[in-house]
Amino acid sequence: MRVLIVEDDARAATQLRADLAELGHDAVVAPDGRSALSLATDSKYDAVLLDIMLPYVDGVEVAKLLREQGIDVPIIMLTALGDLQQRLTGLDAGADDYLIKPAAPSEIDARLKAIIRRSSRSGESGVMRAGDIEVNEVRHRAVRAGRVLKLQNLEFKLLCELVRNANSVVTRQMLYQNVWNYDFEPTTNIAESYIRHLRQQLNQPGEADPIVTVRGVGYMLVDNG
Amino acid sequence: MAVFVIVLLLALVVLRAVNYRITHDALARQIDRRLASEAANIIGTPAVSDPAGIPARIAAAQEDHDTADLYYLLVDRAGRPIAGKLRLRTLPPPGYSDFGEAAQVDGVAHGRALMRRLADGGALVVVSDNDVVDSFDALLARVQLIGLGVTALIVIGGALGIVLTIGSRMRAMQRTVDAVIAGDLHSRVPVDGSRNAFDQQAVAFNTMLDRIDDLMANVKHAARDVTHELKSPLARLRAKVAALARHSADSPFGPEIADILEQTDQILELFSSLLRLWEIEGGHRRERFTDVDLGALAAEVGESLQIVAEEAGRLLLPPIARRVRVRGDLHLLRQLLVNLIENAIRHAPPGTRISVATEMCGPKALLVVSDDGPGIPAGQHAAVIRRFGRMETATDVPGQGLGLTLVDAIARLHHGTLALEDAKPGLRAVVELPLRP
Repeated sequence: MRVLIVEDDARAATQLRADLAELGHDAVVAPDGRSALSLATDSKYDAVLLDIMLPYVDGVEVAKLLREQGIDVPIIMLTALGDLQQRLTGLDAGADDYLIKPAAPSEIDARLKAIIRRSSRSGESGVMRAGDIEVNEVRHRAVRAGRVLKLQNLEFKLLCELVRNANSVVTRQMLYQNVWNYDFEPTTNIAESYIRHLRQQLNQPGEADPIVTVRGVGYMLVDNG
Repeated sequence: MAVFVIVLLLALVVLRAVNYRITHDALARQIDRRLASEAANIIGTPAVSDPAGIPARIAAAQEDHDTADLYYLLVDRAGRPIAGKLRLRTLPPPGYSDFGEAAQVDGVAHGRALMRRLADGGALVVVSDNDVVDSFDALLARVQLIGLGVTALIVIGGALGIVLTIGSRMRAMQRTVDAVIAGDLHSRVPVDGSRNAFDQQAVAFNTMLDRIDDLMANVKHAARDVTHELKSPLARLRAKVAALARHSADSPFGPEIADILEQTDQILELFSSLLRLWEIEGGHRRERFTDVDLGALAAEVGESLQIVAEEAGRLLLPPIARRVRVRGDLHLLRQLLVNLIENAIRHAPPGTRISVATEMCGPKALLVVSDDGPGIPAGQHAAVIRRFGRMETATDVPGQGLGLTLVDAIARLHHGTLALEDAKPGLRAVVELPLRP
């Protein structure tokens, strides 16, 4: 994956590039808003990691200008906690997701994969498949191997999130953000409890468990098909 | 101020009364002296005593213009009148005396009399009409009353002016102080540029607030910088430990590494909570307040925590969620609810029943989370809300000690309060928020 890192702090940028390289991503660093704009318009990137606080042209402005030029590259904003205002204006300006600095490399990786999947899957009828699991977000229906699953609202949303990101890790933070609408991490293991419940519904005796727990990071739904 | 004005007015009244009394007495003494000198003139000095000439001198005095307001009477030893126009029913006692209508002095309503015994046993009475004194007294009284009235008006008006001026200044300052207490460190006392004492004080007060603001910002920035500086290496450390834990699940060090990972997570969690707390206390989230139905939110959070409570062996009863609308930050109110319920799950023993309710109470929205566990002694309620505060006995539960601090900060951001109460048995946390206007 080719990623454009827009970050004026050289040390943080170098660290970020090394982290992403370790995860198999090819990253280019732009130290300010102007060079970010020229790089993003000239070359093709799979995603942009955009710091908010930038010299000359700030991150929100960069996101807005890119969108105005019709460049729909997925943008993940990097913000400090407390910059809520900028976080929200950034999302309004066209950013797809945000991460609070410093983010763990695994978190950035998971977000990048999720965001690319989301943009490539947009415009579908709401039906998603992963192996023998099929979910219909519009009709609120989940089926495994022809068997309709009886899921509560939150369990269903959780399954959708896993199926949407099948074969890549969904971090706990992402789950709390997208399934529970929490912009914080609860101290009890809400996600873990729900995953346990979901597994009970999902797996009949003899069936393989498609949900893999990635310790300390999150969960992954494996598409065996 | 009112006491001061009353005391001042009383002092004025006393002053005027004393003034009146002194002037009045001086006038009375002057009359007495005049009567005495007149009587002496008529009787003559003992050295040149001339009793035979007395009637003639009385007649002369009565004719004299200067003494036309005086009345004279000369009686013999038996009390029969010998000379003078004055007629009396009874002779006044020797010396000075006042008399009124009862004395029946012809032509005089009331006045001052001087009676002198003569050497031959007769007596001379000289009477002064009091009309002059009375009219002077009346004039004096009027002057005193008008003076008193004018002075009183000036005093009351001045006091009122001072009270209003100081009052409006004080209220302006009070508003600022209230705002600062409520967390808005950028509020300032209005300055009108008049450079008077109040304005100078307001400027000084504002400068002090600027300084406090600066210091707070410095402290916060320092803390934030430290936290950020520490967070990056910690995040890297955590990533490394997590990778190590993945690969060492089967090794003999597996449990140890898992423990290190858990501890690292706790530190990171604590940092997140701290940063979160600073963000909330900054107050900027008020700008994004929307209408929130606390009841619906309680139902939603209750549903998502039901499973967690169940797995932990606690019973979370379905929330009694009445529709209660407040102005607030949806995410923060959600966190407030999650923290309160999680707090009950984590700190009360298995088997505890936890209930959540929202209701309206006058102009307030109440959110109540209670459990029937062992509770917290009343003396420690404040301590557990305080930053990093925790019960002295609670060493068994790992906690970052910021859960209730965050709840308190969120409640205060919404102009509300958090109170812990004894649920008899158990702990009841009551969050009071103003209803949506």
